[in-house]
Amino acid sequence: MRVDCDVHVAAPQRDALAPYLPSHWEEYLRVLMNYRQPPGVNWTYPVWPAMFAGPDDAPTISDLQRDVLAGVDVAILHCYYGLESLNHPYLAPALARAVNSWLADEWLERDTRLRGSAVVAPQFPDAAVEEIERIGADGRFVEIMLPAWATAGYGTQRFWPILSAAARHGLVVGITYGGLTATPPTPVNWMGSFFEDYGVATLPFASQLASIVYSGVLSEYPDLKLTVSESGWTWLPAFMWRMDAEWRAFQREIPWVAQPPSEYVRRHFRFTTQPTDMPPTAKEFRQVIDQLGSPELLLHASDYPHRYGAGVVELLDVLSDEAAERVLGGCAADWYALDGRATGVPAVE
Amino acid sequence: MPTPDPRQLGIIDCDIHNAMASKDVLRAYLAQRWHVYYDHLRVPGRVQLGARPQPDFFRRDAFPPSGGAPGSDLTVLCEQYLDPFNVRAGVLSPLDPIFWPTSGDLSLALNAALNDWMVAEWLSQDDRLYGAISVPLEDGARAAEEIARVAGEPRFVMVLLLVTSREPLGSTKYWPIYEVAAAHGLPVAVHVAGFSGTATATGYPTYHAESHLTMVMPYVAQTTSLVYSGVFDRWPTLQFVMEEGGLGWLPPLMWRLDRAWNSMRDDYPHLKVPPSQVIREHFWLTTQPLDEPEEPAFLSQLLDQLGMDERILFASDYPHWDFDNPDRVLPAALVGRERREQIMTRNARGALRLPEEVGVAR
Repeated sequence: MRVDCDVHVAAPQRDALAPYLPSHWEEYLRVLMNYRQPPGVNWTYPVWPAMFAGPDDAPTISDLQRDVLAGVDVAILHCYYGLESLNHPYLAPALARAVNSWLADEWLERDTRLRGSAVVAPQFPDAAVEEIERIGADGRFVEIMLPAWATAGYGTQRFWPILSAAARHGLVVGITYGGLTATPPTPVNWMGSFFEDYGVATLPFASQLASIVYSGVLSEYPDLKLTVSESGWTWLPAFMWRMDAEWRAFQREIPWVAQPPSEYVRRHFRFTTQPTDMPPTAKEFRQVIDQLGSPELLLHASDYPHRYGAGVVELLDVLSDEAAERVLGGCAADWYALDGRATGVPAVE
Repeated sequence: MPTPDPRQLGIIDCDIHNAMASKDVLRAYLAQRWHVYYDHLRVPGRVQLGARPQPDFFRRDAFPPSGGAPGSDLTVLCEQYLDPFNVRAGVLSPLDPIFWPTSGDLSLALNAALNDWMVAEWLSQDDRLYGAISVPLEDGARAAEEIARVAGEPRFVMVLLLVTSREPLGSTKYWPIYEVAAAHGLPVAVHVAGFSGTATATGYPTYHAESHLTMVMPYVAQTTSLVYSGVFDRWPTLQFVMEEGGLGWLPPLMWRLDRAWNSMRDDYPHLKVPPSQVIREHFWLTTQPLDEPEEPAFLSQLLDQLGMDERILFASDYPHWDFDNPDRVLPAALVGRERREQIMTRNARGALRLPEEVGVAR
């Protein structure tokens, strides 16, 4: 089985969501706000760098069938909508529900090879849980999306109901690129350019790992599975060394972390392959995979329609044929239980 | 001839923390008009530090019998660390400015007093001691003024900034510091700590373990900012020493920035060469807290991936609890004698422009 774990569809414009919104909010957005979509969408994926898709590149279902589905058996769709930027406690959840319903009708319904990652507004955990309960019953959704950049780590206790609801429904929690918050994206406040924002975009993923692993939520919900997508991932080995070292020093502060944090990472997290922050030589690339512990942690993704150039082909080249085949689909089939087998956290050698 | 053991040559340690025996020590160096403010300083960030699971950040055996803070007694420093480990040169970085105002006249007066105290009570007392210049961190003009005032003292070998600055260090507000540092050939050290008003990309950590872990993160942001900023086009000799971040964060950052540069170089024409090249020409790293991979062999892989053997400098962080013992870090059996000698002693001589005889077999 071949699986593409990260395919993007463009955020729907207001009119597309109209049929899925309560009439009050539909009218409010249309008449009073002249709203189109949250600004966070274009700030997260600006249209001008060549590596991202331009405004005219928004793929249609037939583009997807030609460019993505021709080569894989299953593709998981992500529609980043920037809901975390909305402070309105009723509008944000209403939009989450509308986006998911739209995704189901306009995309998932049209090709049985498509699966969905559902958006939620994590700042409103009760509403997010309600939405997870709703889409959890729909087998076409296999994941929920939590943007990495956030006002707090998702290990913080107020988010536990979201994580537990996902685990209960066999949904993977996707920690995804982006996230639009009023808080600065780095420890030294705002950067001055998109180039720098992109350079530091590994940091929120690393913070989320630390927050989730140290919090003990993985001991509380042992079936919880998380996919970290578009993280560049090669920062992970050195970060795990450091997570383990801090744990050795401060274990008594977080006694529920019973094994080295790297073991929790390897059991509960997977990382998508596109983009890969690739070392300059195949030898170093092999070292990084060796340090990672197992290529089984990697899930193939095209990140379509984004274009990053080198990385994934080179990754597959340094793996054995058998390992490459697993990365291309077997790992994801197990992780997302795509062939109907039992959910739960699979063992990694 | 085999590479000599750095233990015989003499270790060069780029990050030792000295301290005042009591807060009052500084009063002798501070004009009377500042005393009342000094006595009643509001300490920023105390609430955050209060969350740590231990009362301070020192080795328990480093408290001097005289009763002052660890690092405040030169005799203890010599007897506990410099003498037994044959440390031939050590750079002292007092951390008091972490808790001081970072701009304005009071900040300048405090930092100037601290630098004068350094010269009078430390740098002139033992020929192994060198120092970092403390500055008003967020006040480019006053920081530059203070650097210019003391740069003539040959035992000051670097400028000390804190990594958690209020803006990324590439910001033009800090450029006056770089102007004067470059003019005097002083590298700019960037050390753990600082209060920026924010924490990580995901807000404030819940646990101290998380907080200590995420201390590595501002290094990623600062390196990215400095590479992007154009400071190295403006001052081609400017050098940064990234202190207390360890090593492992840098190879993947170089890979990422090079990839971003490859993708977006047409959009950012001022970035003329790959970021990894800028980094290998303008950045130094100190070792502590040295990365502790699961497989010891991964440590040499990490050094290989960095590809900057001549730019890695030993640091112990004495007298802090996570002190790296120079006899135990980077064992020759793991990294080779050549690399060990380079990192423990030779590289720092060049980085800090120490006299040629420092760390050379006699």
